[in-house]
Amino acid sequence: MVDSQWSLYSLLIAVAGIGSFYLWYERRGSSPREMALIATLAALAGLSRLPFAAVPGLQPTTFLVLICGYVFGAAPGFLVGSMAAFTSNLFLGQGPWTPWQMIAWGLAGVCGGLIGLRKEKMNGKGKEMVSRWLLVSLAFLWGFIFGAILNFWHWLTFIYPLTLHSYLATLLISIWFDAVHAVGNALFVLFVGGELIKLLTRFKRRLTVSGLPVERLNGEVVHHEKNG
Amino acid sequence: MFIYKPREIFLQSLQTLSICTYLLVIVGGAVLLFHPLVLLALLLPLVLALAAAGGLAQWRKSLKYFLIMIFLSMIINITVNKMGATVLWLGPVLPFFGRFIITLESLFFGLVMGCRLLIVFSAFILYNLVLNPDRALFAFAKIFPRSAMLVALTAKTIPYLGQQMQRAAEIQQCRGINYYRGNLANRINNRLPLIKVLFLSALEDSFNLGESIQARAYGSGSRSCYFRSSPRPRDYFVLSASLGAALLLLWLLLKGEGSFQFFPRMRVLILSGGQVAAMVYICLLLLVPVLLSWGWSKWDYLKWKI
Repeated sequence: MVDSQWSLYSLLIAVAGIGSFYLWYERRGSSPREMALIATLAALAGLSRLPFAAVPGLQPTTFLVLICGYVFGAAPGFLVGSMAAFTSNLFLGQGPWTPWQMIAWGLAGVCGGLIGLRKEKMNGKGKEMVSRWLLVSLAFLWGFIFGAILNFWHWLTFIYPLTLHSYLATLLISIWFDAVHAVGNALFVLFVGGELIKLLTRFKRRLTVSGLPVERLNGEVVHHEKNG
Repeated sequence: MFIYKPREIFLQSLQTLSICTYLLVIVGGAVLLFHPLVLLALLLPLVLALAAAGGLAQWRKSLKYFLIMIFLSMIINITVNKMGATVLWLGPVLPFFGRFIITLESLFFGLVMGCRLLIVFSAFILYNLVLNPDRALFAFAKIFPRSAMLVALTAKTIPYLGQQMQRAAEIQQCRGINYYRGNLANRINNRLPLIKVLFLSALEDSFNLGESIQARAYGSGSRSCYFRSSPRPRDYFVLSASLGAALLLLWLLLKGEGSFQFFPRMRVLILSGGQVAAMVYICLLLLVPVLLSWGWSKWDYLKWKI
């Protein structure tokens, strides 16, 4: 007998994963400025899908989300990625692919965030160079990872038997689109990435409100810094 | 710009919960059960609901792309599945996948999987046609207020940025820059400054937007509510019919009569009278919104009453 439960379980896990992340975001709270910035970044990432919708596979969204995660961190990266997927589908059409796109682009943002974290811990001259090439290779890899995540539910639901052979056959069908996606991502990071990182870093600094040190009458110096 | 276009049709007048439950029962049924007759009982009302929503033309248009996907997944099923007993063709040996064998069972299984895929895709076409994103967001905002605000902001910003981009491109074109001539590298080079300007102005605007949200005292109290929508009889009808169909689908699933044995040999299609009755009732229950929609457009009294 063909087993269809895996499809349901995978969908439940995906939806629960997205739901718990958004619940955490609700409880964490964020400033209106941060919300507006995330919404704008998500809109830019989502908008970049529309002109390229005619070219199957070519999606600058992945590269934009990766860079957003790299500059702003893993959690904003996930938010930008998942929000870009959901809202752009309001214009392109929601489908069974929506939760998987939200997860795939969200995880691309998390991945960018982890690289950004690693860069901050690194010291020395090669820091910029290493992180740039790491980003290019990661962007290339994400072209294929994105395809693998999106094909996963299709494989679980519509293909039988669920073996490595059948999964690879499913991946093989979309390999050309994934390759276009991967090469496009790598080229976007290579040619536009550096400038975009500079631009976003400048806006990230503007989000950080720093108070000037205040010297009290007793000579004690008090420093203030907070994110707003 | 949304795919959803407001029209004076019955299915768009339903509450988010009713229409979502209806679609969820159809998609859930197609994902969990793969008896060919159950799938037909789901597909028939769905196609009629699409016709009632005036979406048959769009469905046919989308079908061209979906049929390619359906065909490809049928090919995968036929290629990797060697469990059937009735061999129709013994093909060449393929690297990694072994001998290419087409069996009657895998062919039929591929067709049934294609039908499931068609149901899922069609259900989402109906979703895009009849579910108002604003109303869906309103329901969603009760549990996730901040995230709903983010969705609303993002959805508002996408068309705005599109217009900004268009405007900036037209200004540049007046200055003699051509985005549509030359080789690909030239076209990309011409567009890059435009994209940079769009990014800068959008990010700058986002700070103004944030300040404007703060100035309107966002988060200082409970959410403002500008309209209330209460369920009407039509919602109760659709909701009850959908839940009835869901119960029957669950009954078939638990009884094991919602699945079908494809391998190694196909078993008989109909196992019991109860199975056929359940399938007919599922089809009839899922036809309730279609019948109501027909009555709604033809009979003013019913329209007023529900």
